[in-house]
Amino acid sequence: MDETTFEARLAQTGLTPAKEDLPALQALVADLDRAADSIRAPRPYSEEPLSAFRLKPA
Amino acid sequence: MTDLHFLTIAEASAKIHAKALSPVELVQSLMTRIKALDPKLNSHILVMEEAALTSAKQAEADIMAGGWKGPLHGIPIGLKDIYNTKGIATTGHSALFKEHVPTADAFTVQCLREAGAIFTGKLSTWEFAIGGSSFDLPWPPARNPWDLTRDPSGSSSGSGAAVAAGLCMGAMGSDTGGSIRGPAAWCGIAGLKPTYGWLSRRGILPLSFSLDHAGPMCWTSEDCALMMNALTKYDPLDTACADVPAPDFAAALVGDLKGLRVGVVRHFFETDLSTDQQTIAALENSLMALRDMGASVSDVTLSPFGVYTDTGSLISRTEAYAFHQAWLRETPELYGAFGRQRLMAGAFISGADYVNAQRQRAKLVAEVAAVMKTADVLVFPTARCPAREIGEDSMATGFQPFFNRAFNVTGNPALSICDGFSAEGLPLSLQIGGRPFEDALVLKVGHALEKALGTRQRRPVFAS
Repeated sequence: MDETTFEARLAQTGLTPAKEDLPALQALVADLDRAADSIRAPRPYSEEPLSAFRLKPA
Repeated sequence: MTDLHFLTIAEASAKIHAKALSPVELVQSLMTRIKALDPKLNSHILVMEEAALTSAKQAEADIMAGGWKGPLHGIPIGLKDIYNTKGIATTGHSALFKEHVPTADAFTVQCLREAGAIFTGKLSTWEFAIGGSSFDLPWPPARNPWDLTRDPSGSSSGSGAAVAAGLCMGAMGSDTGGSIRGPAAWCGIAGLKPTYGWLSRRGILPLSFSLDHAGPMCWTSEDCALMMNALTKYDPLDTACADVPAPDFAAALVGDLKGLRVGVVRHFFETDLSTDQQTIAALENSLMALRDMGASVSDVTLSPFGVYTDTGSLISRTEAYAFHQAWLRETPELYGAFGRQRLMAGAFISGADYVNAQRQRAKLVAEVAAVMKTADVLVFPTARCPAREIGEDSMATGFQPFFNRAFNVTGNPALSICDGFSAEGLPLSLQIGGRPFEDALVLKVGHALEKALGTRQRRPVFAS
C-alpha cells in the first residue's frame, strides 16, 4: 500500500479534478491500491515467462 | 407472420435471398420503429436514415440483378458509436469527441459493408466505453426495453437496447471488461466476445489495447455466427490481429452436443460473489438441458473471481489512462463525471503494479488453459442479477453485477445468452466460454440452448 497521501499522489499526476470529483476518485484509487496489493506477491520470474515483444522472421 | 422488425438475421436473409423481402421495405419498417420508440429508449446517437435507404435501394437492385453477396446483404446493422465511420461523426458519447468525423471506416465496418450490411445508426455507449449510464453527457443514456426504468448495462448499452427492441437486427459492440456480455445479459440477447485478436480493433476508439475486443450482438447465437463469418478477416495493421483461418461459423452450429464436456465454475457464483437465486435456478435448468442433449457436466475450479477482477482492473485502467492522459489534463470538463473519475484513477497505478498485473495475467491464462484440457466449455452466469434501476451505478455503489472480467484477462471467447426470465419478466443470463479460436463451439452450444430453452420467443412488451 502506498503510504503517500492521496493529495500528494494527485499532485504528482498533474491532474486537476473538480472538488466534487475527489470523493469518488479517492474511492476508486483505494480500490485499485487494494487490487495492486493483492497481486504484489513474490513470484519467481523463471516460472512466469512473459513477453509482449515478439519478432517474426522477415 | 412475425413482424419484419422481429425477424432474426437468418430469417430476414432467407427472405431477401429468395426475393420475398425487399431491403428497402425492411429498412423503412425499422426507421418507423426508431422514430416511434427511440425517443424513450435513447439507443441511438445518430439515425442514418438517408444513407440507410440509399444503401437499401442499392442492395435491392444488386440482389434483383443476381448479385446477392451473402447472409448480411440488405440486413440493417447498428454501430456502437466508438466505431469509426467515414464522414460520419464518431463521438464516443462524449462532448470531447462531439465534432470528431473520421476519414475512414473501422476495419470491421469495412468488413460488414463489403458483406452488404446496411448501417442504420450510431448507437449509445457509456462514455468512451467506460463512463457508466450517465446523465451529464450531450446525449441521454440508453434505457432497457424490458423496463424503461432499468439500466441496459454497458458499455455497449445502445447496441443491447436497440437489438432487443427490434430497432436493428444486429449491432457491433466492444468488450474490455464485459461491455458486450453485460448489455446482452440485461437486454436478453446474444452477445459474443470473440477470442482476443480474431477481430480487428483498428478504427475503434480504444479503451485498453490489450483487453479490447470487438464483437457482434444479436437476438440469437445463430445471428452472431452469421456476423462472425463477415468479421473474421485478418488485418495486418492491427498488431494483435491473429492470422487464423476462420471456419464457417453458421455451418458449425449444426450437430448434437453428445460427448461435450461442460465445466461449471461454481465457486464464482456460489462462493466468490453472491448471486440472485433466480439466476442460479436458470443456470441449473440450462445444465439439465445440456445433459439432456448428451453433454457431461462437472464442476471445475479456477482462482477466485476477485483475482481476475483485480488483474483486469489494473491493466485496463492503466492502459485507458495512457490513451486519455492529455485530454484529462487539458480539458477534463469535457468528460462526464463517471468517465472522468474512472479514467483519472488510472494515473495512480505504478508501472511496477501494471507489470505485476500482466505477470499475473499470464498465470491466469495458463490456469484456464489447464482446466480446459478437461472441459470443452466453461459456464457460469453472465450477470449476478437481472437489470437494476438506471442510476444505481455500480461504481457509485460499489456493486459489481457481472462475472465478465475473467475472459477479458485470458482472451478466451465468451458468449452471453438469455436462459430465462425473472418473476418480474426481466432476462436472466448464462455465459459460455471456450478455448481460444473455438468461438464456433461456443456459438454452437449457445444456439442449442436457445432452441432447447425456448427463450427467443419472448420480446419486450415495450417493443411489441
